[in-house]
Parts: sequence; structure tokens; C-alpha cells
Amino acid sequence: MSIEQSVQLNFLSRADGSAYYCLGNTSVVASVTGPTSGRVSARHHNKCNLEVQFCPCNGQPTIEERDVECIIGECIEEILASHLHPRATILLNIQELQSEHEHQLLTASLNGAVMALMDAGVQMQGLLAAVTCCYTHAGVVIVEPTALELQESKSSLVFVLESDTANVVACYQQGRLSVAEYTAVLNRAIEAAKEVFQFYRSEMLKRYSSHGCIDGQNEADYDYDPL
Amino acid sequence: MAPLNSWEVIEPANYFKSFVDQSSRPDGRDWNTARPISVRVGSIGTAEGSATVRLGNTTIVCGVKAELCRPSLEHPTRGFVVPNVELYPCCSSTFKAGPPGEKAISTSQFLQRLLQNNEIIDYEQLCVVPNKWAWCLYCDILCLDYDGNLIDSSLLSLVAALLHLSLPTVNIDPDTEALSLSQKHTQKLTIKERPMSTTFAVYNSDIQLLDPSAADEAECGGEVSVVLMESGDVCSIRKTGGRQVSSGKVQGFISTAQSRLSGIHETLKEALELHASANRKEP
Repeated sequence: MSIEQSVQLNFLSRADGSAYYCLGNTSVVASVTGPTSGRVSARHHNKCNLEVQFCPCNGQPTIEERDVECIIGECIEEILASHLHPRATILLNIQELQSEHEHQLLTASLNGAVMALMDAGVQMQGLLAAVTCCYTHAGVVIVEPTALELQESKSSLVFVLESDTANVVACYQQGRLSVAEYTAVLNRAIEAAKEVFQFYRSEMLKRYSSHGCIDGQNEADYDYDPL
Repeated sequence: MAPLNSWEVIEPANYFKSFVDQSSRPDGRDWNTARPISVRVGSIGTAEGSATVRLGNTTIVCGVKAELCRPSLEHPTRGFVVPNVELYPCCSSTFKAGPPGEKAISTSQFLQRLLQNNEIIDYEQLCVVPNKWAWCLYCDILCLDYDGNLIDSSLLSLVAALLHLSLPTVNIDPDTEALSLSQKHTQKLTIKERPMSTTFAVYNSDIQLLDPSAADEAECGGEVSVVLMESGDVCSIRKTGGRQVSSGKVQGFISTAQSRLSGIHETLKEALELHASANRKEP
């Protein structure tokens, strides 16, 4: 696996679902409460209301954190089966513990949020995987780069992809690329997303499997190719 | 049968779908037709740089005010450019008075990141005295009439205002270190390459509508914006959640954006030339 990730699920006692997700040197805690009753003003008659709160590790949330909340909220709303919980609210709280750089923070927050939602048992229509890529001056695509690799690259990109169809739910880029270079990065991101979905799969199997431990023996029974 | 405008209010999703099924939209355009763009620079006399952009009914005014400030410790030879998008209640009933909402914040952040990280503005040029004085350009992008496509119109107005910008020359008395600004504003900002954006509203993973109006945006879920440099390089492709788009579609977005590039650049050039010739006539 080229992406190092690890997660600890259901470790918060007061939340319906929680995930302590680490991606490289970035770690976040995502917690989900809901569906529950929320503010009367925020109720929709036909769907669930999603409230995202993102807390940085240093200082008060600023306008940049609000932008991250908007992006995470719009991505998650796309996969939530919100029509099943009208007039209810789902509270999603993401706490940054440490981050390598802001792109990996967004990626880790989204992946952590998806795992926390799975842990809470909220119905979803698909899963999301967020991947950071950078394109170096030498023409190499690096997935989940470190801060130093990012600084020395030509361009950095974040993609959020959906599980069944590899559709792009969100994308973001800094630094310019030619069309061919962009397509190369997108294709690499789609491959990397498969690793993230496989990780979700294996973590969920570990959590709910009655056999206890998955070590390759049981995994052979499950032939999963998400894309 | 109920008249057409009642149907629009009672069942907006079905009303919109009836147009989309015929490859059209409520305002009569097909999926790939953009609205006419008009640009005018120099609309605000008191600002150092200004521009007004109209995309159909969407009207955006950008005013750039320059202030002298101390450069930051990390970048002692760079100035600042601070874009800020405001959606006033007058532009649409969906925006209320008070602190900026999600749309304004998200657009401001997008413009800030675009300017910071790509080779568009030469920040070293904004520095007057390293470690002591630098120009800070406050770019206020105000929406007066919102009919969709905030990203394209605000980026175009920002670029036009920065191209129109002229700063006074700063004279520093070597003995007293007092600053004095020249009366005439002659120093222009170098824009290395002009970014142009093209926005599509996502109706579903197969249908995306170019240059959405407010009615289109209400029925679609999310937008995709492709920002290209003059050379055709991809500066940014931005999609912040919302309905999914298949990854193969990205090429199509880039080609449509490339085909619109020359037209938009022409419009911008004409506006700048018009302003320059009007100024030459006055003594």
C-alpha cells in the first residue's frame, strides 16, 4: 500500500460514531451524532440537515475553517441517504490533532468523517475517498505527499471520489498543469482511491467479523473490486 | 390545467426537468450556450482600480483600494492582495444582511488561493521598501444583481480591476524617512498571465449546464469551475462537493473552456482599450 492510514473506531463514549483516523503524519478525530433533533430553524421537510463543525488544532476557527466545513458538508450530503430522516439533524464534528499540510488535512478529515458515519450506522448511498496528489517538475505523480514534496512540486491537487462509479464529487487544485498532466494525475488518484476503499472494507470487517482477526485467510472469501 | 408559472412554484424540480428533457433551460438557452459578457473598467473614480462585469443579469463591481502596510516577517519583500466577495441582500432574496454566508466565503477563499499560488501577480512588485513598506490591495467584489455564475463574473471583474489598477509612486525622504505619494497614479501592476474561468452547474452525472443562471443553480447540485491561463494550461479545476460528475467528463469541460478563452480575452482587451482611449481624450 502506498498510502499509510490507520483508524480506531468507536472510541468516544458520548458520540454515536467516532473515528480517530491517521493518514501519514496527519490525524483527525471525527465524531457523528445523529440523526437527532436539531434546531427548529434548520429542519427540512423532506431531508436530513447536516451540520459540520471543523476545529483547528491551534486557535479559533476562522474563515478558512468555514470553507473546509462547506466542502466537507457538500461532499457528505451527496452520499447521505438524507431522505430517510426528514426534519432530523446529523452533527458531524471534526477535530484536527496534527496535520502535515492543509490538503492532507482536508483529505484526512473527509476520510475520517466517512468512517465515523459508517461507525454510527448512518445510511449512505455510497462511500467517498479523498486523495491528495502532487505533480513534480520531473513529471512524477506522488500520492499523499509530505509537506516538503508538496513545496517542491509544480502543482498539488485534492480529489474526492465516489466508490461505485469513480465519479468525481469534489476536486481542487493549486498550481498550473497542462491538460495531459491533469489527466495523468486524475487517473492516478482513481487508482489510489481504490486503496482507501479497500481500507474501509478491511476495517469494517475487523470490527464486525465474528471470526475476530482478518489476516489474509478470511479475506480471500471476500472478493471486492469497488471500481 | 394550472398556468405555467404556478407549475414553476409548486413543482420546481419537474418544471426544470421538462426543459432539460428538451436540451434547453427556462431562459431559452441550450446546455452549452453562455450569456453575453460585458466589461467596463474605471467605473469607480475613488478607487485605485475598478471594473464592472455583467454576465447576462449578474452584475459584479470590483473596486481595488491600495494601502501601505508593513510586509509580513515570513515574506519581507512581498505585498498583499486581499479579495473579499460580498453578496448584498439587494442582489437576491436568498442572501440576508449580516456576516458573509457560505457562498461569499467560499468564493473569497477560492480567489485568494488562486492569486496566492499561481504565477498571476508579481508580489515583489508590490513591495516598496523591504521589511518596511508594501502595498496591500484590498479588492472588494460586490454583487449587485445575482443571476447565477458568481465564480466567472467575480474572477473576471477582479482581473479587469487589477489590470486597470494604477498606484501612486512612493517617495521616501532619505533623511526623515517620511513617505509622500505622488498625485498622479502611474505605476501599473504586472499581471503575468490572465486567468479565465468557465463554470458549469451539475444537473446529474451526464448533464452539465454552461454558465448557469440563478434558476439553473437552484435545481442543480453544485458547480464545476475550470480556470485556464491564456496559454490553455489548467490553472484550477474546482468542484466543491454536490452531485457527482464522471471523471471522463473533465476533458469535455476543459475543451469547452478553451474554446471560450479567446472571446473573453477579446472582451477584456476591448474594455481596457476603450477606457485608455477615453482617458487620452481628456487633457
